[in-house]
Amino acid sequence: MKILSRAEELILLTIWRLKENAYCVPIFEKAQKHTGKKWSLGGVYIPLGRLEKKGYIISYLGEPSSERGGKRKRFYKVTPAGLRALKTAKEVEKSMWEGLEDILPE
Amino acid sequence: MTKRPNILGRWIIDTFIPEYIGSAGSGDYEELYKKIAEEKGRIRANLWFWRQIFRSIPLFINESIIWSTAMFKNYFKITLRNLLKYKGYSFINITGFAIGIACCLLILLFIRDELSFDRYHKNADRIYRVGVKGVINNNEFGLVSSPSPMAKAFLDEFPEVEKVVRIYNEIDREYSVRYKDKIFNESGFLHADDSIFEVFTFPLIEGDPATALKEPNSVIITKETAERYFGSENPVGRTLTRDNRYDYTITGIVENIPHNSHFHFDFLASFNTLDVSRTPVWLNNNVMTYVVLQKEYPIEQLEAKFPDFINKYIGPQVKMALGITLDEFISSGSRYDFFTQPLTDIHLHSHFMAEFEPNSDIKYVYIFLVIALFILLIACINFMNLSTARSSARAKEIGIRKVMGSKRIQIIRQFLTESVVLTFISVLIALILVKLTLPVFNNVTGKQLTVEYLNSIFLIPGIFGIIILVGILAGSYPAFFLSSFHPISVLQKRIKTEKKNQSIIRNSLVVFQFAVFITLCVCTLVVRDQLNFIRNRNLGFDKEHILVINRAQSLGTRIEEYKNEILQNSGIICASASSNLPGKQYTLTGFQIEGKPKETLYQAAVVSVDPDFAKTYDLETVEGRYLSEEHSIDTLSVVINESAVKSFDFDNPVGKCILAPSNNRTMRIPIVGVIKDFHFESLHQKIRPMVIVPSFLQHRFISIRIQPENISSTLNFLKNKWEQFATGQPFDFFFLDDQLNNLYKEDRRMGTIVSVFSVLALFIGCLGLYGLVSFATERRKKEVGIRKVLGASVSNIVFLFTKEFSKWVLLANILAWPAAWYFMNKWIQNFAYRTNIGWNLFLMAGITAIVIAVLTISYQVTKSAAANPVKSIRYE
Repeated sequence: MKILSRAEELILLTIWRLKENAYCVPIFEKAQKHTGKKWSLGGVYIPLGRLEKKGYIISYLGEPSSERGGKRKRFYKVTPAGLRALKTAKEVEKSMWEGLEDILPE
Repeated sequence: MTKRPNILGRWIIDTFIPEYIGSAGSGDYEELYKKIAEEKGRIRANLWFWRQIFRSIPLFINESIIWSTAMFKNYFKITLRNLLKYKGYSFINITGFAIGIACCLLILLFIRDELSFDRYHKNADRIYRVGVKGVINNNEFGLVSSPSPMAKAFLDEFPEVEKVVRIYNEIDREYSVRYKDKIFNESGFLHADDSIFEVFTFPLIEGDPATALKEPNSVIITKETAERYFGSENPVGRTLTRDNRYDYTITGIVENIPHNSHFHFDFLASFNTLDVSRTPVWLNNNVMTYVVLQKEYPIEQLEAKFPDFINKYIGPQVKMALGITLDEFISSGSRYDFFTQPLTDIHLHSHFMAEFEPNSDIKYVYIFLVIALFILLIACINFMNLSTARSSARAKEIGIRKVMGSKRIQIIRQFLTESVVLTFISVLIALILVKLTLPVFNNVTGKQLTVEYLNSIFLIPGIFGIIILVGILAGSYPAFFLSSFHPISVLQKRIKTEKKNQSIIRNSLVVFQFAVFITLCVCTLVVRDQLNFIRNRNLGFDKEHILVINRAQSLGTRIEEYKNEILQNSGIICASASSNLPGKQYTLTGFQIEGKPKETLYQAAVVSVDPDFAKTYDLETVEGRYLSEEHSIDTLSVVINESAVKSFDFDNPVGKCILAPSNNRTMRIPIVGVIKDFHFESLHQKIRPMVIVPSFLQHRFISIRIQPENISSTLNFLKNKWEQFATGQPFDFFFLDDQLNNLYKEDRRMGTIVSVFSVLALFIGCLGLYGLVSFATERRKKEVGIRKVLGASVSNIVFLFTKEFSKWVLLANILAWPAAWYFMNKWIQNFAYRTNIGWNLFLMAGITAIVIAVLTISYQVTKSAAANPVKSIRYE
């Protein structure tokens, strides 16, 4: 299992959180809200592509809608492999941080 | 109105977004844009939008690159797989391509070298050589040499001339040079003014360029010469002796002269050693004068000043010599001008007589450039043909790829990858081929080309660039052709039939290739014919078994004694001393003729001989008598040849007189006889007028007719006798027929080059034909199968195809013959005496082409026709 990059991990979590409504725009907005940083759409697309290539998410096209100028939405869903990857990421973080939380400056 | 980002922005998103996002991505942008526009207004939305684009685009581009390169891994795999699967084809394809590229590379190397001559001098673009040209007695003449006093006069008269140098050059000069006991005959001994280092860039290893040639009797030598005479000793300060008489002190050592110079030397001595450097005579053109012009000064301005200059300096001397003024001279139709040649033009554009060394011609550069491009073009198109020839084998693969979702451009990329890989392999092989054949190539072209592949930093990326360029060029047509297959048709084994114009292109290519071969073949045969003609032609004198002793002037006044001594040997038939020989270079001397107008100067080659010359060479006297010993040499008389009679416009030459200036008098020299014309120059030249003067002065050559048996013992005898008479001088000899053969060295070389090229052209043409035939037989597999079923035998089918394709080869003949005739006609004009370009040569070339074509065709067709017809017609 490959290690997730930070952006990939964050986006994977966001998709998971969004459950049914996980397409690019809400992922983008939620990620911005949670990290407090301004993302670029491109910076969302690229990790989405990599996650899909790694098999952690799958995508499917939705219905076209007029408010998007007639374009479809691409929805994403986390796969079991993706969940496993998240779990691994959490464990890696935990083991990395072990013993060091107290030294964090205020 | 729905708020949408403007159309430019939308187009950008659509173009750059990676494919796996697709159009959904564009929708995302629009949705967000709309939201922001509604919340915060259009302006903020635009701001946000463009900022997004700015940040996203680089990431998208990055992604696209990564995605497309991902596909290339697959392309490479398939390419290698195909290469190995169809080994035969791949081999032919790569070999043909590699040979084509190698040829192209060799030619480009040659051209690069030719264009680089003399450019290594620092002042190269400002250096000009001054020559003399004009018309005398309706004969045009041009010399690249100039009068000795001219250089200094240039410096005095023209401020725009910064520096001048004179180089003294006797034609065919050979001096003997001695250091202690080492003595050699040297032909690379030049005298030059000390300003030579200011004009030319000859770096000195030892010695000071400012003073090295200042004093008379100084000499500098090249590194190579130093090793020859002095080994590892330091030569500076030592003394060399020239011709056993003149001593020179070595004042420096110079780097060997690069091969790409129009003149070379081993020794460079100070010109002020010789009296000729101080002569006030303007009518003898015996030095090469080079000038360095001020920066940016246009040479035409200097040339415009020449006529006045000539009037001032040459006018008075003309009056003294001819008795007429310069104006009278000019008004009688003659002319006398100076002209300039840029240094960098000399090697390729200067073809006057008596150059330092024979020069090449810009024509060759153009011809070879065209040939190189043609060869590359042919190689590429062959490649294309062969690649498409196996199209049916790849058809299924392409069909399936398309069904699985490949877009056309991806298939195009696949085939471009294949051709780039093939090109890469071919180029690698070509580079190796070039390195291997370079020595042979150098031999044939007389150059010293080198390739250091790892030398130049620009070379490696340059080569890669060329590989990709050529690969894409050569692969473009097959790529587009193969990617156009419709999946359904190919999977059902229905390959679309070729349009008429496509097959015409294919066929005309093979026609062209064969036409090139036939042309080259004819050229080879013509050159061979002409060389045979030269070999067999009666030269008007007997050239068999004539041994020539060089530098006979070493015998001093004892030439006659030596001659008489050696005649006593039974191996020697007769001998004669002379100032020049058949096959050497001749300059023309001008003189007036009694009874003809004073302004007309007649020109002839003058050679001084002893009375045995005609006997030794077996010359025929036509009128009057030959010179003989009975006549005292006080009454100088001469013999002329038939061409001279024509040129001097005589009816009765015997008894007429030539006027030669001598010591402020004019001497009348009677003509006592006429000899039959003989070829004393090469057959390139028409036989020119010749005047034979008797003299017992120091002659340069002794021509000896010897018995063909026991040549080595005769040689020994001659050598021993020589050492008795000319101790310390090297015994240098050669055979006259070798000397004569040398005259045609260039032509023989040309013949070799053309024949090599014709073989190559044949090879490439056959490859092309092979590809064409394979393609056709693939296409017509079903037709062949049906014919076989209906009872045709393999040979019937072979015959059928052969007939069809031979048509094209015949057409090639029709194209080639006029072209070959035109080129060979032009070439053979170089010879004043030539053979006819016979019909049989064209026929021979044509028949060779057809025979080989038929063999190629039948080989390939037999292979295909032997296939089982059941298999061909199976899927219908």
